[in-house]
Amino acid sequence: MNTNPLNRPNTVMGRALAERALRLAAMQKATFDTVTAGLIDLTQPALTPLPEHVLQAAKDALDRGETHYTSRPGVPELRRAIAARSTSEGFPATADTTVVTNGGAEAIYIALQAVLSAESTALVVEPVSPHVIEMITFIGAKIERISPSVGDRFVPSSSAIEQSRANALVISSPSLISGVEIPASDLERLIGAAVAQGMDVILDRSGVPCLYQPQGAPFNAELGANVITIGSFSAGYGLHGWRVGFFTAPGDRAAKLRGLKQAMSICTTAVSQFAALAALEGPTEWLAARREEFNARRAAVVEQLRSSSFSVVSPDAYPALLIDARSVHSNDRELTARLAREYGIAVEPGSRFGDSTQGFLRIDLGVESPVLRSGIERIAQVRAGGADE
Amino acid sequence: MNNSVSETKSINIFDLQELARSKKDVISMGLGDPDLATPANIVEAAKRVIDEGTTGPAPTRGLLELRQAIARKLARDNGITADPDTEILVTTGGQEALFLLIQGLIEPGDEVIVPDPRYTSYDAAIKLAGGNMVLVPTDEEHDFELDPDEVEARIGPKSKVLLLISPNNPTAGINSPDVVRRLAQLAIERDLIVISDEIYEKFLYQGAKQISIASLPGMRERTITLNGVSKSYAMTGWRIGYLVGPSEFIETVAAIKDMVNVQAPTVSQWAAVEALDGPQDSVEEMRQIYSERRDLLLAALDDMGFSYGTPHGALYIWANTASTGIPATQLSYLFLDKAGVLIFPGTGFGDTWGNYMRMTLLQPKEILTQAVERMRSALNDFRAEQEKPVADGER
Repeated sequence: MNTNPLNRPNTVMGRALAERALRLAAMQKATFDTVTAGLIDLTQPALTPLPEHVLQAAKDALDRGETHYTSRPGVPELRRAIAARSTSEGFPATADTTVVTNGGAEAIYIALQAVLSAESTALVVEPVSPHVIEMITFIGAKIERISPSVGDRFVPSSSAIEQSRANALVISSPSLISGVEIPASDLERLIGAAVAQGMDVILDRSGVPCLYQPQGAPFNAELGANVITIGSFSAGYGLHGWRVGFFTAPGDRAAKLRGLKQAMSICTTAVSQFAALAALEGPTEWLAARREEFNARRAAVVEQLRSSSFSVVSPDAYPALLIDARSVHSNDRELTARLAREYGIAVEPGSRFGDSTQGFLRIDLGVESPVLRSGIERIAQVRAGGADE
Repeated sequence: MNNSVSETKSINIFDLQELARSKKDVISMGLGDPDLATPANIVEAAKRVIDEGTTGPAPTRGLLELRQAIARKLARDNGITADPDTEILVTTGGQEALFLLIQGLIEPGDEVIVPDPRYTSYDAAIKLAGGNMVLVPTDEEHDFELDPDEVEARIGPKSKVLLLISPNNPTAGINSPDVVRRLAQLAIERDLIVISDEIYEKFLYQGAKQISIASLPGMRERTITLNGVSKSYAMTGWRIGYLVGPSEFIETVAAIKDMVNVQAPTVSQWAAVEALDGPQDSVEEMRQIYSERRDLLLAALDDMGFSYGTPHGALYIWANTASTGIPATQLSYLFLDKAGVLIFPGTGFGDTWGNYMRMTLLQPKEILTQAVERMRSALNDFRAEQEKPVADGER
């Protein structure tokens, strides 16, 4: 039987659990977990009603009897729509190289599982979701981190990639952690460096629908053809509980990723796919209104924070906002705990996402405006109350 | 031209499906996707949820309402007591449940004892975790029931898990209560964890009975029960499965679930609540429909000279095609090419099953009748070609 580095329960089943699964559970416990009960929660978005055409599309699908397995990689119309949009943005894809997944997380896991092994190394650009770190660790691959500075708006240097012997580059833009988009020219430079190094590139583009300003010129398609891209209908379209994401993959990678998807969950929920199709292909006024609502919240929150001498990392995409709290407390985790304990608010410490965001507090602008206002007022009181270091 | 068997194309399941998609008027008896509609009360429940807007995020372990409904179902149907707070995990379909539990249990080098033939998605999950399968053959003579003596003979120092799938995919065999009791005793004596895949539990025929191994004394602590609503309620597209097991297992596997998938889709979870808590008449209606189809197909197989182990459950017939003299991979191609009938060859369920095919019960009787006629005709044509004397100049 295995060694027991993680105090596995001394039961029949406890002794049987796989060590990497126990390590994962321990990692999740060790990662900051906001206790939000009874607090003003600035970490979880409120639910916004979905537009009628999306809801109707879901109900119509049910009425049509779309309750069976769909095509394994996803409903063809949805794959075609995703592929067309991806291609127009400089990441060439076809319906055959596009797979719809049960949420963006599943897409990332499949991509990582496809390109990494216990013998390989992933080069991860911060800020990064703890889930991505967990996934790579679970697969057994090694992790190299790049921690670009907030002063550089989280754009890493090419040399960090050129000097790495990693097998894969994992990068997000726009980041759903920071809200910051890496400018297209910089992204091309970074991905170009990774491709030149022979790395697989996994680019999480789930934040693209969340951009306050629509994207400019498309990405260099010749380079984009080498990239595994990840997308999601959660943050951008508000389809959080419906669990629809996707990946596009270079032709030579697509079959392997498709096979892994089949092995993991066969196909993605049928009714959710039809809701996603309506969100992607239907009227767009609601998306503009959604963007405007986030924009208004951003402006109000930033103004409120500035009046209390807090600066923020100006976001290019919703829903994230990073508040610079380094002048209040050098340790964001201690500050977060204090905010919960003494001021009754829940925020996320930036260090949860890597060294790049140490000293920052992350809030989600999807929180309803009155709650946001009230929460920011309390953050302002911390400064008024003075640091407690 | 005189076709010989060796000239008949051999084909795997993936290519068969691709070929089927390219052809018109194909009768599919391939995928295990019920043709029957999800019962109306379940669909209406989902539509109500959509109208009410309760479609947002749910806990990783699943909606408490669904876990409570599952606990009630387990007590009602299976004699299993499970705490909805700590001993149940809702998954995105049975396939994900299978993936998660194998990743949660299997370390490199661990052995999983697997009945053969088998649902080969387990192969992929076990391989990904670095485990090894130890196959236990089952046979037609015994209706593909697992023999505890054969299991015991294969238990070694690295054996960790015994996998039970009953009713079985692809064989449609079941493990009788006596066999399950013996397997439970064996698991306790040899300290094995048991995975009990009961996804087809609702479809038993001709009075067949089975019990859940987790309900037996001493088994709750070492058993993980896998189930879902896909097959029982014709809900394959909704993607709701679940795992039931000791709290330390559920807690650990929930961490993997949170990492790879966050949660099962919310609308589907509410639909599953209605499936489990609502009227159950539709399940018996479906079982009767499948039972009639099974009788029709068995009679046709008798007529064509195919043998089989009696299918006591599930949605399949595991037919022995040896009497045709044609390997199943080639017979599948022949049936698709000449008869427009898609049936998976046995090799999709283990390399050594080249003389078997898995036929599904998942078409209406009139379509199945057509399929049988087409298969019979294609087979007769093929045999006639085989028996033709070879003309001069064609040798």
